[in-house]
Amino acid sequence: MKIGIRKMRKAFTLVELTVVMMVGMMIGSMLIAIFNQQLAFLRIYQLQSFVTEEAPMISLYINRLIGKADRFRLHDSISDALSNTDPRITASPVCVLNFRLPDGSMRASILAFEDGVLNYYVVPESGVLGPSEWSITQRAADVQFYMEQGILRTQLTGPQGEQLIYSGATQ
Amino acid sequence: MIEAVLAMGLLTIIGLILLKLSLNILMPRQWTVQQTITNAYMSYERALAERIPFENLVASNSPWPAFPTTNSENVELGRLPGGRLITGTVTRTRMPYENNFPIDGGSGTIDTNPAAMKVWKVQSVATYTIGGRNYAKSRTVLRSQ
Amino acid sequence: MMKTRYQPSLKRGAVSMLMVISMGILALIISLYTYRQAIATHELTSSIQLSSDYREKEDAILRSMIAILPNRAILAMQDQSAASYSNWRPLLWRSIFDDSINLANARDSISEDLKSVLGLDNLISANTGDSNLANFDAVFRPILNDTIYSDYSNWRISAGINRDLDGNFPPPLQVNDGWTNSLDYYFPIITNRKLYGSLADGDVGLDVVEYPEFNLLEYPQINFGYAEPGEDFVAKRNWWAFSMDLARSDDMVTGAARFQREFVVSIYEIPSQLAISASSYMSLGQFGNGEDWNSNVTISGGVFAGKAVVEGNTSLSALATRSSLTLSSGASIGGQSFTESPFTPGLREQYHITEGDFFPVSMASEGGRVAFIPINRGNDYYDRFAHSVERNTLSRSTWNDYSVGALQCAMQLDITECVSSTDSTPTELRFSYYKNGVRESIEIPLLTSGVAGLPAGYLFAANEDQTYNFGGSVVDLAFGANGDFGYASGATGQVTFNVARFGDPAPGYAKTGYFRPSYPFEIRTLNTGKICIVVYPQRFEDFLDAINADGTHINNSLVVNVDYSTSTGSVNLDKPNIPCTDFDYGLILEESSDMTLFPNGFSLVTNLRLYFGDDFNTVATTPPAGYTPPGDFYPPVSIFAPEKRYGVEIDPYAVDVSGQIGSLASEDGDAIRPLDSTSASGDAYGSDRITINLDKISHPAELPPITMMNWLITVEEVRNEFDD
Repeated sequence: MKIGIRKMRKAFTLVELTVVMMVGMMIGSMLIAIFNQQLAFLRIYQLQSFVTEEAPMISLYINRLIGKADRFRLHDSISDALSNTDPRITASPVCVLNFRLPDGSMRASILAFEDGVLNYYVVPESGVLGPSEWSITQRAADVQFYMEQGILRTQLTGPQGEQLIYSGATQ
Repeated sequence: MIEAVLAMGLLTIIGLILLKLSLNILMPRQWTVQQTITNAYMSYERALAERIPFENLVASNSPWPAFPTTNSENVELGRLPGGRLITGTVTRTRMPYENNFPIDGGSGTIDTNPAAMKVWKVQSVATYTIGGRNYAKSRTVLRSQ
Repeated sequence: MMKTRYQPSLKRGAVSMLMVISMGILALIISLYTYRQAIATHELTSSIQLSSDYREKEDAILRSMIAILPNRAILAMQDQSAASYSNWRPLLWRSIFDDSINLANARDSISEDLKSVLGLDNLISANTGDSNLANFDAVFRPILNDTIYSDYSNWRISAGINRDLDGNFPPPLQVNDGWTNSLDYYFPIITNRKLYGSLADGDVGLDVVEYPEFNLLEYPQINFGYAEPGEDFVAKRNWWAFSMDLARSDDMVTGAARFQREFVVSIYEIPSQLAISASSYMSLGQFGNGEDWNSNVTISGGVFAGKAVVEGNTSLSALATRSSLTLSSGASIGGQSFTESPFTPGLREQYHITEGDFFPVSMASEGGRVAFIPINRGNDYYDRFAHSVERNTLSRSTWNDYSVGALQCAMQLDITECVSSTDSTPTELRFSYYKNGVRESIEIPLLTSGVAGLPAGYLFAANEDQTYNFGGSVVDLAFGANGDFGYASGATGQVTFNVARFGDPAPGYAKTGYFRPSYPFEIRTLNTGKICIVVYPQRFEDFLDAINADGTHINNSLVVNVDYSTSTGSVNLDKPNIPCTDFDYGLILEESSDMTLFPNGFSLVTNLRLYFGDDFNTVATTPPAGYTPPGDFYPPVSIFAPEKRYGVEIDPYAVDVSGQIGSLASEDGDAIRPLDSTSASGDAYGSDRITINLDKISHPAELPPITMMNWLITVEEVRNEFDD
């Protein structure tokens, strides 16, 4: 038969209790701080995502087009672009680019910012436009084309207010 | 108590690791951001160089003076998230093709340059600093007559 | 009843450790995931950055190529270009690409000199594509579907000759010459031997059998307006195709090789064809006496000048220049008046949007990826003795033969001797022509025949009892020997030189037959004392017939020079001065109203002052089959002389000129006035005495035998997204 002798535990002193509480609070604060730091980091990461992830791809496509074209026209809509109605040089969502090919023909492609998407179309020889070849970006807040001093400029505004302007002159 | 102190110490170490990790992730993105924005701006420099009338290009008040003279200007490269302006310095100059006639800065003759071409390399260089390092991005355009 | 109490194995403080560890692991997982994503994004961005950099460099390389190519093509036509490795190596396509890379700063974006000027320590280039491109041969290649040459190991690209590539490419030229066919893949070869043939039939404007050399092509959609985009113009298009991918050089390291971009670089050979076309400094709009061009001056179509100043209220359809252009405030080009420079950025683009595709004022340097080279040899164009023979050239067409009109002429008439160094009266002429496709010459003594007792002007025909056929020509005959001759005049057709016809003027001697044709040229001294050669174009047909030469369809051009050379000429003769002086010889053109005797047209080149003694080319003829001109058709003619005057001994009352006008003056110096007309006495005609009607050549049938040449260089990309 065993008999355990229970000893009386000593209680914490006030000082010990204070220290332990402070340490606990410090641990809690540090945990919260680290948590906030991570949130801030993720927020910055997210904020930069358009410029770091989307914009380079946009740049790759747009630079293949803007500055390589032999002619350009700006319009308010795709239907205007196809019918060559109301061409202008002021800020417009649609840009027609014409390219001279080695066989002497001229072909056109269209960049159009419509419903929040920057689409790229190749105009077939028949002139009847089909669906877009691809969407260059769906995250831009705004895309405007305009001419300044003979240079075609493409102003790309990101979802967080970031702004890049691509430029090209006719060849 | 001991465990709590150990926990604090561990927390401190974890915090520092996470901070370092965050910086390691964000710093290269700074490079990417700067490159992307500078690339976009440099397309403008290229277009300007292609479009400027040749007469203006070779004039005494040309935006691209003949090397070793250069022309520097603070320019707006673009805007960061939140609309914050990002600026940089662009330096412009132009250099003659060696086969130009002497009057056009080269050493060509009628034997080497029978077509009497005048060719200039028009160069714009954008310089910026990231993390204490100096970067330069260049665009060269050839103009000829 | 006994109670026992469970004693926990863990101390209470371990909870905090557990919390910390859990939180730490969670945060680390999030961070690591983000880190991984960031790395992937960074790799992608680096790759994109590299691609963008390569693409920018490639575009700069293309512009460099356009700047370098014209000189290399010319050098390939020059003397000894094929003689040695050091001579031909710089002319290879490979060398052109290599030099283009260096010119475009594609290897090293920022030179050390510029870095030191920028003054930044430890500057890091943000042009990630910088590389010495050691694997250069991987960068440039023939195009993908080239079935003849698929690799670049021997520095070849794809030449646009002798095979039909797919519809993305222009119509090819054809050449029967094995040398050219081989070399065109290695060098930019321009030669008269490359022609349009059956492979191009249907892809060019006209029948290639009728017009193999120059045909009707569509002017490209470029910003340099020698013609309107899409408009037919007379030209020949030489082209070469290649692929380029800068990334391929370092792909083993970067993994950044992309699809190769394919390009076509073209050199259009464009015979001068505008109403006014000259690589000179020209003043347009006023005569030299300050009077404006008035209603007597009609210019249809565009004008090209090396440099131009447009004065007064002149109106032109279009104006293209190589270098500078100055417009008066009252000038109107293409219906447009300009208050500022027409090359102000934005003006042309605005015009394209509001008015149309063709901006009427253009300059080659503002035309984007375009170069325009007017080929102007200046005063050397008129003089075939100013050039040495070119040998051992890469191109089968030598540069001098290609660009000097005096060397292209079928017939050559030279003053080869005069009385003395102080008396320039000609005593001998040399006439050279084609006979059965081979060049032959005859010496024509002017004072004596060179045969004792025979008057001057007689030429050898045949020996005794031999027959000579004079065709339809009417000639004078002589038969004899030893200073004794029998004569007959007005002979034609077959003539047998024998005693039966002439009697025996020199018994006991072997006799010889001579004839004196009606020469199409003679010497005349003007009242002023100026000694001139008179040329009668209308007499050439009979004369060529009489000497059994090829007809006027072959012998259709004439150069008149003074042979001052030491090898074939005379020490008594001096090189004619330009500007012409009253002490130099002159050239008079008479009996020239009817040029229909030259079915392919006629050209005259001389380095002497030219006097129009009669109307020139005022008789219309039937146009070639298949060509319907808008009005009357006249034989295509061209005249090249350093100075022209109207009249000989008497000044005509007025001058009426139709056709095209050009100049060989340079861009430097004073501006020339292309419409100014001078009388025989040297007086300028007033605007009321000059009628000018100029328009462009719109069909190869209108090209004269000798014409000035221009090159247009373009580059286009084969864009696969447009393959329907």
